Amino acid sequence: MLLTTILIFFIALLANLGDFFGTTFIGRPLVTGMLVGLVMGNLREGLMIGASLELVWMGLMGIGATIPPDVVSGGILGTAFALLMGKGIEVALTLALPIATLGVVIKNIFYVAITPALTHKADRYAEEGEITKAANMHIVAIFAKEITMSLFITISFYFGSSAISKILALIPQAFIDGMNVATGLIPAVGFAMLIGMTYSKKVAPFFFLGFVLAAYLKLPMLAVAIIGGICGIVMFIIFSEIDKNKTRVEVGSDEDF
Amino acid sequence: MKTSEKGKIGKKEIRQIFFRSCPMEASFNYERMMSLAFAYCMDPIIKKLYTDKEKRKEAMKRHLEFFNTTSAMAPFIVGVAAAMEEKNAEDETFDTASINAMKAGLMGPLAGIGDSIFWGTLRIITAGIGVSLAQQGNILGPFLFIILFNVPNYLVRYYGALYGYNLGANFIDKLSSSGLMDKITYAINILGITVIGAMTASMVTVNIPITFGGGEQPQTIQSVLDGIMPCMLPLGLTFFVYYLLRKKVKVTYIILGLVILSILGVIFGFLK
Repeated sequence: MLLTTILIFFIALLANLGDFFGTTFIGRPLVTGMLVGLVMGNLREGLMIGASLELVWMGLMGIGATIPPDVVSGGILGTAFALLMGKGIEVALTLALPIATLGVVIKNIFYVAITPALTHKADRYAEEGEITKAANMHIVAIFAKEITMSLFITISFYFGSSAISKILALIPQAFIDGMNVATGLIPAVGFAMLIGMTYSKKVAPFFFLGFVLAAYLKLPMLAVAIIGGICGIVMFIIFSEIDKNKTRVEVGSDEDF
Repeated sequence: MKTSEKGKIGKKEIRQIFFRSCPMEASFNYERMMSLAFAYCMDPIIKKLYTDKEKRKEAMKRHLEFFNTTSAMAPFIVGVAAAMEEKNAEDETFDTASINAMKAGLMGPLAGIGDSIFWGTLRIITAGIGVSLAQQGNILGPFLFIILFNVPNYLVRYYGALYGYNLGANFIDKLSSSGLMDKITYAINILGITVIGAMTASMVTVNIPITFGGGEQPQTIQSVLDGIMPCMLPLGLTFFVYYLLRKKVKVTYIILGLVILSILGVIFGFLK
C-alpha cells in the first residue's frame, strides 16, 4: 500500500504538471487511467475505466473564465478507487464526481486568493526593480498549486473515498458556492487594471462600442476584434486625410504671402 | 546603427520565448489570468533589450498586466510584444500603451480561434481516437492521444513565437520609416480597447437572483437590470474597481472584499 501510495503521488505530480509542460493533456483520465492501472496491477481495467471517464468529461472545456470540475484528481482517484473495490465504470464515475468537486474547491482557493497574492508579490518585486524575482513568481505559483493538488490526491487515496465525502460534507455549501460566485466577480479587477493602462479620452468611445457588441449583440470575440480593427483603420484614414489637408492649407497659405 | 549596446532579439531569444511560454496556463488565476506567465516569458527579453533599471522596471510592470488566451497561441503574442519592446528600446518616442493594446487586441480573437482549434477540435478528435482504442484494451490509445495532440501543439507554439516576432518587427520597421507610427498605434489602441470592452461584458459575471413583485410571475432584479441594459452589473463592477484602483486602494483588499461579498451574497441570497 505504501509503495502504491508513493507511485500515485508521482502519477499525480506528472498529471498536474501537464499544463507546466505546455497544456499537454497528460493529466486527462485517458492517460492517468492507464498509469493508475499499471501501478495497481490491472493495466487493462485501468485503461478502460480511464477511457470511459475521458468520454464523460470530454465536453468540459476551460474556455474563457470558466473552470470545469478538476478532471485530474477525479480521473486518478476515480480509477484508483474503482480498481481497489474491484468495481467498474459506474462506481468510478460515482466516486470521481465528489472528488472532482473537492478538487475544484481547492483549486478555486488558488485561482481566487493564493495566486493573486503571489501576483501582488511580483508587483512589489517589479516596483523594486527586481524583475527576475517578479517573473519567477510564476514558477512559485505553479509549484505551490501543483504540489498541493498532488498531495491532495495522494492523501485522499491513502484515506479512501469515504474520507473525501466526509470532508466535503464539512465544508459549508455557502463557501463552495461563494468561491464560485467570486470567480465571476474577480476578473473585473484584471480588466480594471487593463483599462487603467490603455484608456484615454481618444479611445473611450470604442470601449463602449466593444461592450455593446458583446452585451447586446452577443458577438463572438473574433467578430468584435474585426469590427474594432475596422474602426482603427477608419480612424487612421480620417486622421491621415486631416493631416494631408493641414499641410495643403499650410502650403496654400504660404503661397499667399 | 547604435544598437550594439542594447542588443537585438535573435534565434536564442525566440527559443527562450518558446520554452518559457510552455507553462502559460499553469499559474492561471481569476485576477489577471496569465499575467505572471507572460511576465515570465518577457523577463530575458527585457534584460536583453534594456540596460537601464528604470526602463526594465517599467517594462516588467507592463507585462504583469492582465493577459489571457489559448496557451498554444500565446507565443505568437509574446513574439509580437518582444518586437515592440525592441522598437521601444531604440525609439524614445514609442507609445508604450500600444504594447498592451496590441496584446488585448490579439488575445481575444486568438483565444476564439485557438479554443475552437485546440480544445474544440484537435482535442476531441485525438481523444476520440485514443478512447476508441483504449476501450478495447489497446494500450496505444493514450499514447496516440498525447502524440497526435502535442505535435501540432508544440509546432504552433514554436512557429508562433518565430512568426510573431518577425511579423511584429517587419511591420514596425515599415511603419517607422513611413512616419505613420503614431497614427497606427492609435489604431491599435482602438482595437485593443474595443476588445477589452467586449471582454468586460463576456468574462465578468454578476448575478442577483432576488425576486420581487410576487404573484404569477415574480421578477428578479437581474432580469429588470438586463432589461435596461444587459451586462450592466459587470460594467458597473469593473468601473467601480477602476475607481478604487485610482483611489490607490490595494488590489489585495479589493480581491478579499470581493470574496467576502461573494460568500455573504450566497448566504443572504443576493448573489448567485
